[in-house]
Amino acid sequence: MNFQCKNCGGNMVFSPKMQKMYCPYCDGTDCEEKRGDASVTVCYSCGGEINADEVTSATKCPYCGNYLILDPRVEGEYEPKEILPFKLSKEEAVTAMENEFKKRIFTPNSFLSEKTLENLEGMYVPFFLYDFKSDADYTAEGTKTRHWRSGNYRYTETSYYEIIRKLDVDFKKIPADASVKAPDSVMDLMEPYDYNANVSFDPKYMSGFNGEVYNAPAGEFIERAKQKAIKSVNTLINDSVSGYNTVTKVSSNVSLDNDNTEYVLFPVWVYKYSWAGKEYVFHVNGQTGKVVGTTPVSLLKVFIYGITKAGLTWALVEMISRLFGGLVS
Amino acid sequence: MNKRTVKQFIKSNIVLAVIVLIVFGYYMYKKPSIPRKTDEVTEYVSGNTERVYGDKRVFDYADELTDKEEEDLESYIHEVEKEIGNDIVIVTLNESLKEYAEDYCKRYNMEMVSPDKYVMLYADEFWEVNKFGFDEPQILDGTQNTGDGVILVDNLFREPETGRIYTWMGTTGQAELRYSSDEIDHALDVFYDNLDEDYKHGLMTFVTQVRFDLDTEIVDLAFKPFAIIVAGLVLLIFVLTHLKSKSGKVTTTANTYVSPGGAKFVVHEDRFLRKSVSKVYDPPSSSSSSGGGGHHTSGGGGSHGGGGHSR
Repeated sequence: MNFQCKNCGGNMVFSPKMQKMYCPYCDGTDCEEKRGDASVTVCYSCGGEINADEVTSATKCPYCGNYLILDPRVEGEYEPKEILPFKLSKEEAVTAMENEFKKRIFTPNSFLSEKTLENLEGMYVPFFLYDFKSDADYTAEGTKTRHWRSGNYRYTETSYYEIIRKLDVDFKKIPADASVKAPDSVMDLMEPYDYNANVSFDPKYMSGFNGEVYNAPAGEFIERAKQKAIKSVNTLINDSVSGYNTVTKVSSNVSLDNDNTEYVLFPVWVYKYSWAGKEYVFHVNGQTGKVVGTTPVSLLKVFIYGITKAGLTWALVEMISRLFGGLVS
Repeated sequence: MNKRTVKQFIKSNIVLAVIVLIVFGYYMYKKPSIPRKTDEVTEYVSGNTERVYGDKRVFDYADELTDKEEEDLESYIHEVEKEIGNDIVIVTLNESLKEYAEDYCKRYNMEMVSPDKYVMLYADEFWEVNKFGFDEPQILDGTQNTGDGVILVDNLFREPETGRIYTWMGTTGQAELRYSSDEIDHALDVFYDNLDEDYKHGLMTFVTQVRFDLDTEIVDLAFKPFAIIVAGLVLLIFVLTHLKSKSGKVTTTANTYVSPGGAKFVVHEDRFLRKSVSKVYDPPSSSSSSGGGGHHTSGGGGSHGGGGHSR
């Protein structure tokens, strides 16, 4: 499907700034008309062949530039329960990256340049949100020590305690991305999303962006969510143990019961930057603006900055040491 | 280079560059007047016009030298002074210096000063009162910025407490900075080794030793490893602090996905089990201390270095 402007027939996209459907051709808003089509290989607008892989759910036609949403990938079992619409516009994503990286003086000149920013694209990443009921048992031995001195002797008193904890936790919506392409470590760092802004799924929010359908069933990704829950339980228990000099764990067991799972789409801006034959990928949370990525280092810049700093410092120290000869001998 | 890069480069270096320029201006205005070991040396003239005894450097109160010997020694000292940019003063005595120690003790509320230090107190006072120092007389501010030179005090009187003859080599200003305790010991050894043969010869050899010690250090103006090391460290710290390339920290907590009021401790118990007490024999330790080097402050507040020998 795609969304056409009722006024001028142009391709309408979702505008994060206005939080409305917008026509870039006639500036019309919320005047979209949905045109459906079951094809996942041909553009509904121009008939051109689209290069969609088996997990693509939204893309841009390489011929006419219209944004398409592939109906079979957002319907039936593939229909997300909710979607978190993009809040950050493209310009705001660029600003977020500029702010994050403005102090990185060793990044190459072309980094975040207008030309390379053409490679910045919005992407709806599939996520499963898992609910868990957990109960945890934990026992440990703790010691408290006290020291004092009397005459020529030093005394140490050690008190031993048995630490017992039983903790029940109700976890709601622990996310795990259901995209093989999206790196897990980066997606984890994108968190947290504010779920209050989630809305019931409507394909119109995907117009103007790329998107993926979940790459495998929910069971394939549950382990990552479980690990997050276990880590959280362990932290809560550890935080409840205090006042001891040493704590030795005796037993620990966390059981998790998954009572609900939801399929949702979350917004991420992706900036691909190539430098010195290597591709660097940066991700910006499309809701919060949080930036994750590793910047390349230009050795030429390191050299120029280094030589300048070292040269100026040398000149300064040399002159001061000659002026006040006492500094060096 | 694009505009943003140039702007960033200027911003990063401007503060340091301005400081360098200011210091450079000051440096050009007030070049340090350390003599160079070149042909110009003979043109170098001492800036100190306040010496109480003018050009006199040899004070032979013990009358160990003939007039001719005194004259020879003095002219040799003048020649060396021009070369090394430091005063060299020789004093011979044959009297008890205990009264200097008594004055000193009174002033600083001390009980006593050992006889080997009498010569030190005398040397410090002689240097300060008579306003020696190559560039200018010593300003008694506790620094080594003024009063460059070396004094040798040889007191032939045997103090009754020990029955020994004490000698002191005092260093002030640049000489204090450049002389280590070991080098002072060595210079005094050279004096003692040669004085039995002929007293004047001992003193001449001592002056030659001072010439050697101070001359080799003073010419080193061209290259200071200290500045290179500092620059290298700054470079290293600068590069390391800016080399960080990763971005993105964990911003979730243990409670992020816990529903409100959803974490409950069904059991939260800390049960006391037992107690044990151990004791270790550990008597209080006694403290120890170690002595310092040749640096000290004179009765007048001036900084001096030095070391003594006796025979």
